[in-house]
Amino acid sequence: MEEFHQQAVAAAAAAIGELVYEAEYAAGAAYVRALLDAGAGKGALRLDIP
Amino acid sequence: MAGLFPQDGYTDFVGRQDELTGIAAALADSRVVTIVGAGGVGKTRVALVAAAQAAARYPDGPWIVELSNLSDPALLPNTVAGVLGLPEQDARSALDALLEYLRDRRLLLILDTCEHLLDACAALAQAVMREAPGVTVLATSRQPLDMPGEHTFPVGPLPVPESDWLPVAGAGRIDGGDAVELFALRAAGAVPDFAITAENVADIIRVCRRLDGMPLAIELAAVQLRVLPLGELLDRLNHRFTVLTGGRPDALPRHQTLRTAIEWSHELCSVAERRVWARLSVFAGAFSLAAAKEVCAEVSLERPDVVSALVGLVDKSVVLREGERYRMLDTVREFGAEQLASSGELAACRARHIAWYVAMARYFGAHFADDDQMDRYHELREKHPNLRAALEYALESEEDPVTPALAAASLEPDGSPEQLADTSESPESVVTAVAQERWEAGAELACSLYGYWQISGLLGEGGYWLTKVLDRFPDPGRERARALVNRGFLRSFQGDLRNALADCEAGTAMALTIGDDGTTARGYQHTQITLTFLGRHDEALKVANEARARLRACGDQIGELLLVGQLGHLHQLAGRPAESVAVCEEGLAMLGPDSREQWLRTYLYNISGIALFQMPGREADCERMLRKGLAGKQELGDIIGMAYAIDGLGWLAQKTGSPARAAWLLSGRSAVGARREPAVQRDRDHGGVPPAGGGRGGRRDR
Repeated sequence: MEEFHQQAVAAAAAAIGELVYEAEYAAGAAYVRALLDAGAGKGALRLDIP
Repeated sequence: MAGLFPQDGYTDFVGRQDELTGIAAALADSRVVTIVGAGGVGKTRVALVAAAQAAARYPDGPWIVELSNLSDPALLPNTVAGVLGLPEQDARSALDALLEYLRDRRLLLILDTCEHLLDACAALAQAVMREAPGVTVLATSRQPLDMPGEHTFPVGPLPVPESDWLPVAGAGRIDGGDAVELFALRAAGAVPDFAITAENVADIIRVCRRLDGMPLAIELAAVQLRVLPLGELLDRLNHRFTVLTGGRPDALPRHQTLRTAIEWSHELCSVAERRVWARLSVFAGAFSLAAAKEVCAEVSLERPDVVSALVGLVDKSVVLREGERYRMLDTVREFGAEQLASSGELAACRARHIAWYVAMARYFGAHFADDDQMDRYHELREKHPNLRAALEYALESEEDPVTPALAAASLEPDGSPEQLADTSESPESVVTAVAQERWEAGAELACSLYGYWQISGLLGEGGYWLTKVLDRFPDPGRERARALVNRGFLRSFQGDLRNALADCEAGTAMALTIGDDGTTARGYQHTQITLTFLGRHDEALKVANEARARLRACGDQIGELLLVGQLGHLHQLAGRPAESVAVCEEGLAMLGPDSREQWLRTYLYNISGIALFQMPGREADCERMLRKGLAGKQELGDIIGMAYAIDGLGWLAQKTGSPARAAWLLSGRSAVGARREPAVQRDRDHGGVPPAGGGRGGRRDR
């Protein structure tokens, strides 16, 4: 299934361009990372995906 | 307390301005700062306030790891990793995973109460200094870690005025210094209208001086104002210390001052309170009222008496109440442990502690798929330090000094010492039999927690305890077989597939030989998932059929449910998405439409969602399943399961024409993966199982 991930990465980057892709990617990563930090060791997490 | 540090400060923190300034300077200069001082001097609170003041310099936060409840140094990296939220779901050591996570972080790691784990803490701090340049360690300990680069910062008692008489400050306010202020603060908590006045300030100063300015001693004394007027409290304290010192002032060393204050509190307790204080010391960290009753009560001290005694101990600040839970400060608990050891009740009390947590674990294992699964899980998670303590007590070596006492306890149901003499067994064989019984309880505890180890992500720690079980049971038998198949199961989810298969096969063969049908069936089930991850799909399907027949024959519905989920996973990985979806639906139907079971249900949602992604025209169903999987995994705090769902939603977003949303979502597994190993090795080892983690850092992993 790694290929599903890689195919999606390549297709999305091609569709919106490298710069936009990187910006969206960074925003998503920062959001998830902050939520994981806030929820570490506490069990339940709340992640509202767009 | 453990976790990300609260930023709102401490309103009842008194004094220590010089110390805080000094620690701030030390943190600016050194990567390892150890706050050193006697027990009860207030190191932890000083560390927490210093950390709060320094928080802005650490964008990834100050994190506190409470170590007083940990006694096994081997579990130090696991404990720190757990606080940071790192799952143990890969084959790396907990230390490697921790260092990998810390490598690009800028955080303050507070290791609180290190004195019983000095070597392990020093080794960890050294590794952090070497591998994680943005991380600073702030330790508290009665002794330095004694390692290169360590900056030790001594913390002493609070200052007490030299004179008994103080000038009145502005607006009639009396400034008696930090010790007096602390006494007044705690006294006002015990007696609401208490205030420092010109009339009582001299006695307060004398009390604080008598107690050497030791914060814990002052706090214990102040609450006695509930029952003693201040003058009498001072007289009794003076008498207590005069007896000890032969009338010489200042003859006691500082640690003895605190001990004397604790002994004095002990003397002021009723007999029942003293017994409960001692017995409560077997708890590691917080405990509930129900647990206190179960562990402390016996024939001569019944449950209502335990409750009354506990209330008394809370009134005396010996036990602290935090919501519905109770705990003791380390120094107070240590005193209780000494009393328990000298009472001869240690082994019996530990046996009740073990039995309480075995019962809880056994219920969880036997009712794993019940509606209250998550309530039970969260209950266990909260009790983790006590589960560890029970495992430690139960799996201690035979040479453990408490074993003879346990032998006696187990042979004296009516309290008659003659029974030991009446037995035909030799003392050696009695000790062995009792140790065996204790180890069997430990095996039951470690194995019954199979679902807990998996849900919590504590696969490495679960494997650690199961390995201890295997050490205690080196010969073929039920405990060894059960521990082997359970360890194999955990190892398979860590990606340690070769060892997982060896464990599963050995345990299953052993269980077959000894005729343990339940363990044999579970052994086949665990072998099935391991073969699936190894990419040996045909064999996995054959083993699944064998496992299902055996699970059904012995009425193991939970095992069968788990197997159905595994089968769904197998079909999905083997390129049979329609079969995968059908099997997942079968599993959901077995659970029932109204089931509140979460773990297996969310697993089935995720597997089904990924299979649906592979089926043209099923995009809406795919999204529905993955969203349900994500919501459930969030509820569980299962970040690996979350990574599966988020990544799948990312593929789907791209497939359905939303590339920006796809980019956002496809980062999710990378952010989650920063808490676990890079994807490549795991992906290969799992024979194509989706990497729940991913490449590290912000750069997309292509």
